[in-house]
Amino acid sequence: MSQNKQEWGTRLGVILAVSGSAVGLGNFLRFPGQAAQHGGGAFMIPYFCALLLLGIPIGWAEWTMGRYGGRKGFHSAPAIMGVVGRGAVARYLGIIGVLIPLAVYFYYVFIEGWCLAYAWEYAKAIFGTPALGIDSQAAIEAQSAKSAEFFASFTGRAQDGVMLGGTIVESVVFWAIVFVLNVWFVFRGLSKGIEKFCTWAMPSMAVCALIVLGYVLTLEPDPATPERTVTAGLGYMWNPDWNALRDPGAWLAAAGQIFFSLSVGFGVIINYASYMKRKDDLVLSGLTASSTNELFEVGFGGMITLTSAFIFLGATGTAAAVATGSFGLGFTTLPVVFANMPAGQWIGMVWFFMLFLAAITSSLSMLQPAVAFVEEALGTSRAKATGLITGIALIGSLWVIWFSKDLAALATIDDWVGTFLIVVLAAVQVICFGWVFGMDRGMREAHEGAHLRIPGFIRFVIKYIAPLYLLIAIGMFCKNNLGNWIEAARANPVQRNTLILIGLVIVFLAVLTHIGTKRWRAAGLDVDGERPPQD
Amino acid sequence: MTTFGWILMICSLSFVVSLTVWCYKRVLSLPPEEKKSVKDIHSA
Repeated sequence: MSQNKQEWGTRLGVILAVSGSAVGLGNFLRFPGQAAQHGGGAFMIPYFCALLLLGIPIGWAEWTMGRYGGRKGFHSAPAIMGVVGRGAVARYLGIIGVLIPLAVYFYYVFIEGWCLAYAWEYAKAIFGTPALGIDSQAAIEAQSAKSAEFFASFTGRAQDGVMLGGTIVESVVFWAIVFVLNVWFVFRGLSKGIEKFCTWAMPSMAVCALIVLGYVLTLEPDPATPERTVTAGLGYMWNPDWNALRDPGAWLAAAGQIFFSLSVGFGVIINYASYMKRKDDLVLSGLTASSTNELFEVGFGGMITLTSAFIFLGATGTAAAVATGSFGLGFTTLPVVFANMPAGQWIGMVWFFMLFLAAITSSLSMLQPAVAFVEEALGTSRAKATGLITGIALIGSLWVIWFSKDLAALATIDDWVGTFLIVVLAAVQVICFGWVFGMDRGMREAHEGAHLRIPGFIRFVIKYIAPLYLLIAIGMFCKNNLGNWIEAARANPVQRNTLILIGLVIVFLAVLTHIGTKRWRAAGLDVDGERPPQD
Repeated sequence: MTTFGWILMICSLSFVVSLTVWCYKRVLSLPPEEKKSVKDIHSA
């Protein structure tokens, strides 16, 4: 239906693009914090259970639905969900698959700018000035305060509008740079833009991670604190607390980490897979993309972040850093670690550049589903579709930057869209796949061109376990959190207005879906999935 | 670092590294004729 025929260049290119979408800041900052808070090494047991029983199976279902939709001539989540879910309800629920990546992009590109700006700050520090103004000779408390002060000023946490108040703010300059970069690569298309960039960026990210890992694992402890060795730092992350496994929260946290880390229910895989051909393998490709994500998360995130924090801050300092969350750990604590590390400016530069690569390979995937949707719904060119989505993304991103006080707009979108709606979309997808599309047909479709067989028990997992888990998670969220979230949004005008903005985007996407459905029907396409593919 | 800490770390790392190496080995050893040429067809 789209006027511009897009396709992937190579099998490896698709895998690296999907891996790039999955590997993000969460692999390096969120995962180690979650593990440390939920039993250390013991956390890996629920974590790997969730990977094998939820993450990889739901991922396979998404890949399969995407390619099936592509065989019908569709590339957007609403159209594909309409085909797989056979009707208007699934089609309009599929709007969530466009909304999530687009709305998350509003704030993610801002964070991406922080990573590049921090890398730049460390690059400048190589030539003399202390990075971020942190004086390594001062007490650790003073360094932490300085680092926190820099981050607060850098992100405009003190006051709304301060970032766009007329003076040139470094984080806004870097936001603009990465925003333009993203639009450029997305405009270039799948193989010439996204795939080409990821094919270069993913290996580069691995090299950066290896450099930092090698450096951290060979650090000598400060003679004043000889107990803070690398081995003790690894122990902080990996020593198991078996009692944590009795807490259902640890199992939910593990499933949540897997879920968000692999980008399932995000609306990206379904779009990316729709450009694959009938005989293209998707079982091995899906598994390879998942394993790449795990390599970065467990192999690098699990080995670097808390180990380096422990060596310089000790157990108490590391625990305090973990409690501040991903932003606190990544942008406030680690700069203190780098300030005290020999050659820390070099390692800081490599580390934040690696985070930037992780972020940009993810953000590139966020615009693509919306651009594909506009192309498909309006029958317009890629250039026009990119222009329209860039305009919306610009408004959303400027909104996040303007309402920077306590990062309220960013947090609202992250909570409602980047956390809650992901689970909702995954539930919709897995129910449509297992119960409407049908497991027999689903497995047959998945095995077309496959170089690997999906184990038989995965049928049971996709049909029963995954939907049950997701529905329980949604039910528990509604019971425990939804009321508080609504109350908070009522009380805080920024939160409320941010939700209205998201609502307007949903209305816009619904109108496009309505227009698109008419066009697709007029063109004779199988909008409700009533016929087998013709290819 | 306790013994169980070492065991869990080594097992976890071995699992993810082995899985990744095995997957890429299989992907890269597939017949080259199945690989497509790099192209974007702009027919608009």
